[in-house]
This record gives sequence, structure tokens and C-alpha cells, in this order.
Amino acid sequence: MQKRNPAELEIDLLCSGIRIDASCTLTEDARFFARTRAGLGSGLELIIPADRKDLWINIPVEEDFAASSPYKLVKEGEAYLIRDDRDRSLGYAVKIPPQPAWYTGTTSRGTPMSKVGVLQGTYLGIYVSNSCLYWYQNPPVGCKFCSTGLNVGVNEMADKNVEDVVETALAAKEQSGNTFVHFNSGYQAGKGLDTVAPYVKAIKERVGALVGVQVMPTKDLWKYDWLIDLGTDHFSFCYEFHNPEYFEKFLPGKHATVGQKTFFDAMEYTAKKMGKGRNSGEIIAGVEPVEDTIRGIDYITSTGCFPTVCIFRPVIGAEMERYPPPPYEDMVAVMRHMYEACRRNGIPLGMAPNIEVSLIVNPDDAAYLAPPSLGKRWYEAKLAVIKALARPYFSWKMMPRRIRADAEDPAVYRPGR
Amino acid sequence: MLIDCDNAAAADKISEIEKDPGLALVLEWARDSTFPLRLDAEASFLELAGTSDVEGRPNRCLMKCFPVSGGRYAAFFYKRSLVPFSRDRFAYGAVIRSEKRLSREGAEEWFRWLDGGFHPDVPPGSLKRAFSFDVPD
Repeated sequence: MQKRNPAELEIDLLCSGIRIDASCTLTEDARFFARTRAGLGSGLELIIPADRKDLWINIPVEEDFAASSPYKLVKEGEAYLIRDDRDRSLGYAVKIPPQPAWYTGTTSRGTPMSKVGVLQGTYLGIYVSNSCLYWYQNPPVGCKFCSTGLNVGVNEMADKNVEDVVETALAAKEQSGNTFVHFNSGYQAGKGLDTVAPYVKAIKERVGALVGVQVMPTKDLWKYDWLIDLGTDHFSFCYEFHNPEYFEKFLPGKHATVGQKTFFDAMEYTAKKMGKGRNSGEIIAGVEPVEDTIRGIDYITSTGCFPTVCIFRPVIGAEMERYPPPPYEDMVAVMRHMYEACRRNGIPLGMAPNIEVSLIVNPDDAAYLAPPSLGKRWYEAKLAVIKALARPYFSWKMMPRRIRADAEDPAVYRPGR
Repeated sequence: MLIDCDNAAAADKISEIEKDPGLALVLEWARDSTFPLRLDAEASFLELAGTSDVEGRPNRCLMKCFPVSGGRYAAFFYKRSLVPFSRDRFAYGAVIRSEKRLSREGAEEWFRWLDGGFHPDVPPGSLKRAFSFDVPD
């Protein structure tokens, strides 16, 4: 069996999961396992060292399919290795990111910081406010792959206090070198952007970090102008499935209350306002036919957004728990297409400093999958130049600064006032 | 039916369970059930495990039955972590019943769900996904 390259290994681990050998001492060596947000981050955080850049990955360990994975994490001396049962001669040296000290710290209000936010790769992920309202309807209309209703209030705080969020983000910046705070929430009955606004402003004014927002989209497009003025650097739009039939079947709440078109309109609007490579469309690969996922990637990149493609993980407790994880070969084809689509559309990838998302195959991770070509070399050279030129801009963006926009009252942005 | 319980540890556990009237009833129904269940002699209160493979994989489903306040009983459904040193439990919910509302038919629903690997399409009636009491270890 041929040794996998870093991106191939990343994809295979996301599809297969991993078993943990008794030689491992993860209690001492690793971050604790945290099933927060939608449940995707419930696995083992690990780094695959690579020459171009290290790849961060959150590998399934708790799901049933992980028990029959060919991959096993072992500790030999002080080093961690991934062994592959299919070929005992294969071993992959990996690194386990240690648990940051702030994970066991508390805010001045006494809230455990790890119940406010967690690192998912190198960025700080915070699920704001109450659980997704889809979980409170009878019958529930939550997305069928999601387990958020089982997590909030159990593994993380239900309501996030702004002060707690600021203190946690400051600790993550100082101790973990965090550069990006990502806020998300479930369905908030049309109030997603309103809910997140005070947190965005507080991070910009008192922490100084890049800020991402991932909430249900709104038809009130003027609210995005408000959020941009509050300091939002990035929006992500999780419409999950490009095929409208799959969207309706697996996302009954999103279908009934928001609709796929609202996602598209918001994505196109913010892409036009903010420019290429700033925002993302998020889809799940491995449930709908691969051709639909490819179409989704082509659509997202045509708008100027970059695709964040999650490999479907049948997380514990979700309605789709018993669906099989997707085949490795299909996911390699999808991720290769993702990189090529970004290249064709000139999407700047990997510009912001130190943002590695462990839950997905980052578009620039997939460079390892694309065959060498003149076009690829030109694109990579262009990315390197833009990244160098953009460094001072990002340094400025990550300094705390005064925000004039009002986080509580967006009235001045409302059209026709 | 209960399997693998012809040993001293299981016999001791059964004696302990039979002192509690509600747990004794559930144990009796488990013995009579058509589903093959394993009694965990080491666990607290009454803990049963599904034993039928689920889509070719070993069954990880567990049910802990224990008394809660006000003369009620909880049947708590969960899976244990696959990580060797982790004590995490992955909850699937709980059914709460007063002793007089415990029934053979209701218990058979619980056993069916255990045996079938907690299939999301057929949860037992009145399953609560969130509750306000602590589940004992």
C-alpha cells in the first residue's frame, strides 16, 4: 500500500476515524474532548506535519465506525504515530496539540472558560446564546446530521455572557496566539445577526482579533452592512446540501423557515460587499451525490466565496448517526475539485494569519491533491505574494479599535427610514 | 432474556436489585424479554446492555434503571466512550415513570430500543432528551 500524502491522510482519517491505543497518554498530552456546537468537534485534535504547512484535523473517535478504523494512534517513547493495520510498515508521525492553560481557567464571573469557547484547530469557536430553536419544536425540525441540542447546557454554557466571551478570547489570544474568533448559533427566529452583534463589537474593541459569524441568513440584507460596520471580517453560510431535495429532506427547519435561496442571496450580497475570498459557503460532502457537491463548490467559488466542505460525520445522537461515513475515494475527488475551483476563480486562500480549521479539509490543504501544473505553480506563487503583502493589513485588523456602530440598535441601517 | 448471568457476581447483583420493588419488576421483564440482554454486575443499580450486533458492529447501547425523587424511576439510555481512559457518557435520553406506571409493554419498548442500537426512528414513548437530575455512575 502506498503511503498517503498529508491531505490524503487527513481525508482518510475523517472518513475512517481512529482507534486509540492504550500506550497513549492523552489525558496528559492532549486537549480534552469536547462535544460542543454541532458535534463535529467531538474528536481528537491532531496535527499532521507537512512541508507546505501543517494540517490540523479533528478525527472521529467516539462514533461507532471509528471502532473499526484501520488507523490506530500509538505512543512510542515520547512520540505519537499513526499506524495503519492494512500495511504494518506504514507509520505517520503526528503531533498532539497540548491543552492550553486557559482551558482550565475561569472568568472573573467564575465561568469555566472551556464552557465559553473551545479551540477547533487554531481558532476559537463560540456558540452564542440559546440552543437552536429547531430543537424545541414538536416534532423537532433540526438538521438531521446535527447534535447541538444534546450539547448546549450539557457540555457548554447555554447563554454566553459578553464579559465571559471577552475574557476567554483575551486568554486564547495571549496564551494560544489565537487570531480568529468564530461565532455561530442555530436558528434564532430571524434574530441571528442581532444576537451575535454585541459579541462582535466587544471582540473588536476589547480583544482585537479577526471575527467570523455563522448564523442563519436573513432576507434583511441591510443587516449585513451593520455587522460589517461592527467589525465582522467573515461570514459563513451553512447551506449544507446543494441538491434542493436533500436540503429539504435533511434540513426540514432550514427548508421551512429560511430556504436555500436566502442562503444564496446572502452569500452573493456579502461577497459583493466584502470582496473575493472573505466569506464562505459551507456544505457537507458524502450525503448528496458527489456531482451535486461539485456543483455546490462551483457555485460557491463563482460568487467569490471559498468553500468549506465538511466530510459527513455521523455523530453520536444525531438522527443520521447510522448513516455510513463517505468513501475515501469520493472525498479525495471532491477536495481536489475544491482546490481547482478556487484556483480557476482566483480565490485567495490562506491569507489570514494562523487560521487552521480542524473540522474540515481547508481549501489550501487540498493543494496536496492537485497534480503539478503551470497553472497551479502560478496560483501558488500569486498566493504567496498576496499573503506577504497582506501581513500589515491583518496586523492592523487585529488591533483593538473603537467601533462607532451601535450593537444594540441597527435602525440607521434600515432602508427607507 | 438475560445472557451470561450464571456466575456469582451476577447472582449477587440480582439479589441486590430484587430488594428494590421497581428495579425488581424491570429485571423480571428483562428475563422474560425476547431480546438478549446482558446484566452488568459491576454497574450501579440495574444496568442492561444490548448484545445484538448493529449493522455489523458490536452493540454499544446501555440502559441504566435507577430510582429518582418522588417514587419515580428513570431508564437512562447511553453509550460509553470508545476512548480507553475516558469516562464520558453519551446520552440518548431517559424515560421517567412512577412505580405504578412501570409496565411490561413499556419496558419491552426500552429493550427493543437497546437491542436495535438506539435507532433514531423508533425511540421509546415519552423519551426526554433533557432532564434535571444527575445520573449516577
